[in-house]
Amino acid sequence: MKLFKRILLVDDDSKDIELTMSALKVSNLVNDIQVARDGVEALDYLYHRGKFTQETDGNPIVILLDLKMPKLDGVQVLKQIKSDDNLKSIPVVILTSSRESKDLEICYELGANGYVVKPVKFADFVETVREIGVFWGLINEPPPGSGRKLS
Amino acid sequence: MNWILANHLHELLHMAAATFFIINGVSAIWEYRNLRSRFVLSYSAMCLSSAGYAMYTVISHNLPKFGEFWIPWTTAGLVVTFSAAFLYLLTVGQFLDVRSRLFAVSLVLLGTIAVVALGDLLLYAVTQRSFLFIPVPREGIGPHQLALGEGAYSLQIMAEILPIIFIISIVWGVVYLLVHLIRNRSTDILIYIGLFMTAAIIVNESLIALSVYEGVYLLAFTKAFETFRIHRDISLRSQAQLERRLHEAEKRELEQQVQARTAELEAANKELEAFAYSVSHDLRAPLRHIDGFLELLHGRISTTLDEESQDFVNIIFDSVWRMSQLIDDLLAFSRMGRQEISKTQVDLVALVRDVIQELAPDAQGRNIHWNVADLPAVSGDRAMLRLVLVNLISNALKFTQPHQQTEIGIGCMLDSKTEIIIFVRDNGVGFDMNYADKLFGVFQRLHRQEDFEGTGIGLANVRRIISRHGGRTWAEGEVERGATIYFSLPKHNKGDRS
Repeated sequence: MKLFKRILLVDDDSKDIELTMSALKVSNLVNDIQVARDGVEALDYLYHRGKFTQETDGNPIVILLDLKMPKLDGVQVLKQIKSDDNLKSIPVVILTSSRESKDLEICYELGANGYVVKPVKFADFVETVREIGVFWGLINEPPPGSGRKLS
Repeated sequence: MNWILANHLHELLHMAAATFFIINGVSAIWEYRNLRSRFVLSYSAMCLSSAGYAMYTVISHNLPKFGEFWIPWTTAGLVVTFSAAFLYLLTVGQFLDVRSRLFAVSLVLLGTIAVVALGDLLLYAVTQRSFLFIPVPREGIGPHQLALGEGAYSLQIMAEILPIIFIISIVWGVVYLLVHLIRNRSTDILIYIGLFMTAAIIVNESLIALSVYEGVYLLAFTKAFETFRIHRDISLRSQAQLERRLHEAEKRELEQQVQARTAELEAANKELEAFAYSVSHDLRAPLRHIDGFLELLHGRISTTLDEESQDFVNIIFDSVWRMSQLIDDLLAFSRMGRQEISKTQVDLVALVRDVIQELAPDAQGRNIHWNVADLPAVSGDRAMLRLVLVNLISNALKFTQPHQQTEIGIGCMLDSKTEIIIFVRDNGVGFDMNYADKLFGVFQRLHRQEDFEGTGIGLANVRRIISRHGGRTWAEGEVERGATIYFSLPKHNKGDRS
């Protein structure tokens, strides 16, 4: 039985999404990336509601979460995930522009599993995303119930 | 004791009373200027009219002719007293304490006597007969001659009423004395003792009518004076209270102002924080996009680019990188201003050694002569002071690079009583003293980017950290002959826990 490993990327900026996708594609490590364009969509996906009602997949192996987003921001999404018994085991890696100590504090307090600052230089960015992919997609053993059974 | 002596004593009493009343009346008017109390005015009127009465009595005594025009001054005096009491109750009675109210009652008692006396006067006008101690004026005879036995007192009625008044005033006086003595232990009671002794002497000389009258009269006014004083004290106290209240109000206002300022500052600080937060998130993203998409684009077209186009692309990459550094520096600078200072004792020698170690890679392969003096321990935020030294020492390393033999000195000047001065001196490229004040500005640079790398935030950070510690920063230098950057730290810091 093989697991189809899925990463949930939560980011409101289409350019950032494109760059992240390119970086992930370059490293060619992950076979499925689900994109949520804001916090509400991310929670909709995780709770299988809204336009994700039909989704029957298990939890993603990791959530890459941006902080500054319209509607529900990253911190609020993180709070919701970590306070839900069914979701709190999903590793959440904050992937954001800033290294404000205030953000760092609150994210770790809420139970973030990682905090990565997006490097400005694209080469560094690719390398960073690749390493995230390698670690969470290959090295790390995801919690039970992650991914989707392939028939 | 013969009559003459008794008369002189009587005159003396009246003259003393007149003096007493005039002094009180005038001083009351004086007090009115400060206190603005209606009671003070009525008291003053009472005093002055009573003084007039007392003086008239003395004059009429010695110049019997005046007696012809004598109107019942006793009655007039009592009417004035009664009016004053009435006015007094009307104006300030409601604010008084128990003691003063007792006095007011005694004034009303006197007022009652005045009413009785007025009634007697009316009766005299109708029947030509007096039933009270109102003397009947006769040609050539003053009122007190009458009072001394020559007049037409209705002795029967006097014999009935006067002892009652006498007893009331004595009992009232004694009770008052006792209460006063027990409650206040005041020397004021001497006035009453003297008063009653005088009354007793006069009574013993059989001047019952006069002595009782004068006794009550003086008692009333002495009490009036005392009440006035009490009232004045109350006024002064309330003035003091008023002042205190004003002071408190001022203090409250000041506190409110401070609170408002603090709130404003906090709001401004919050705004600044929000601004920095936004900068840190929002300004970086477009840079990342420029760099990322330029990289992606470059990946597609790099093979077709000529050398000049390739240079352009590199310039864009460099600019993005520089912009990113500027943003980072600006944010760090802003954070430095908001971050709280946590002071401890910092061993500067150890800190300098630590920083030099950290900067060793920059010094590698260079001929550097370090000259670190014996620095004192100072009170400050260790991390921030470390940043100061990192900035100053790395600057020294940077600006000495073109010179073959590098000398960097870190020393201190301890002669000031109020501050410790630390300096970092190098023999590098130096600077023109005309631009010395520009050195510590944000993103202010005295050298071209091509000559020396950097954003120009280092010394701005140094200045901000030092000024937040309560110290000063300044620099000395000469082109091509090195630079010395000084900073000072106060010796007795506020909030210094050591």
